[in-house]
Amino acid sequence: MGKTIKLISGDGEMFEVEEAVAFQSNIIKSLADEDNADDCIPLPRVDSQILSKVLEFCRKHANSPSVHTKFAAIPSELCPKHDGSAAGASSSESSSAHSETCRACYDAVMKLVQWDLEFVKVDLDLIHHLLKAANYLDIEDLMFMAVEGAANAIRGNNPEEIRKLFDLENDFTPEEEKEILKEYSWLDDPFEP
Amino acid sequence: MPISHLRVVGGGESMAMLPDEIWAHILEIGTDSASLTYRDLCALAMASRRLSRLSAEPALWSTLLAIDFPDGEKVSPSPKALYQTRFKLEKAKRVALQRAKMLFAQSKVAVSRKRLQELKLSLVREGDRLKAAVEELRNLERARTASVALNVWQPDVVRGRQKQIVEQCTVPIESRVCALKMEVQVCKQQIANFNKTYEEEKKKLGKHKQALASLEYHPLQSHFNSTPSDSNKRKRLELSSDSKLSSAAFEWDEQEKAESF
Repeated sequence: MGKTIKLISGDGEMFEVEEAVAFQSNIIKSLADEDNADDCIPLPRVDSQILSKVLEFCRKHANSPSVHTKFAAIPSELCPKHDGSAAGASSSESSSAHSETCRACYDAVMKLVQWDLEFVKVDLDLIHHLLKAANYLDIEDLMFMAVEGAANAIRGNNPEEIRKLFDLENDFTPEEEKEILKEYSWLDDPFEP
Repeated sequence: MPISHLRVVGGGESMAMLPDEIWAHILEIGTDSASLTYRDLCALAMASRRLSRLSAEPALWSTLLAIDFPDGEKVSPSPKALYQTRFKLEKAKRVALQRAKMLFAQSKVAVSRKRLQELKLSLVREGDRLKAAVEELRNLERARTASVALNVWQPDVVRGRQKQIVEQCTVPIESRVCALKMEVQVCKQQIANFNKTYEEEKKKLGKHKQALASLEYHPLQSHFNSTPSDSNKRKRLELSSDSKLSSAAFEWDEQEKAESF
């Protein structure tokens, strides 16, 4: 459909993807813009396992509005309803701002969000890598969802479980521990020491 | 704002090694989207020093205030302390409300019991009245038959006795008999009514006792019981900011209200 971009992971594997997919990453986009001769972009800091996961995400998001975009601002080209019906629709309709109440857009975004939530329902290790990759490659939506995934992993745990999750030491002194228990005694179901 | 010194490899690094900025991001987005609750921030605070510092960030607690206590002070120098205050206040309200419910339920049981006692007394009274009426009727019947016998039988002994009975009876017999028969009817009807009301009241008492028992059995429900579900998350990701938690008002049983008046 369009131009493709070649990406090389830190461990030397090559991934060829469409521009729309790769340009989800602002870093790749800016690198591709300035590097007009070479259409091969090296990403030494991302290894192939993670990169393929990242690209899976980007592929899904390539032709969808971002989760953050307000519905009214979604351009009509991205609306599933207007797909390929440009001929039939009146020209004024396709150029004006997209309706805030477009049901098709709403459904599409909600479906995407569902997919995203499933995508980040993975172990913390992977989320950790996705976070770093999203940060490094500056992929806004992936960052957002990875953060969501991390928050979900944290939710509902008591302090001991959190320490286990993140491999943390309990670096409070016994006196501090006592203080803390007192400090948080107002909770409905106070945590045990 | 990418942080360039991070190397992304499939190694055994712990997520705790992530820089503060990313952690702050996680906590910020987590609370914004209601994935993290006040309990989670507290759990984090109790886990380690660094997490304690990160989770104490005032902006996070401001967000929680806006979500959990939407109507009230918005600005405070220490949102975390304000949250705690609001939380304790809500809890005290809930406890008071629960106590009020209990007292109400107890009083309904007491009222029912009292009504039953009164009904019993009424039944006894009415029963006595019935007995008296029946007794009197019987006497009048005897007087009537006596006066008939008087006109038929001649022997002096018998005559003497009948005369005695007739003389003892001062009231015009027929009308009194009528009145008494009606009285007996009325008494019987009353007794039937009282019995019916008694049964109904007994059922009510049973219901009230059940309501009281369930109040006593169920511990105080937490206001923030529900954990955010996926559907809630979707809503948060939408434009509208949903106030997830409804106010702490409880619903009186509409029927109960009607019954007591």
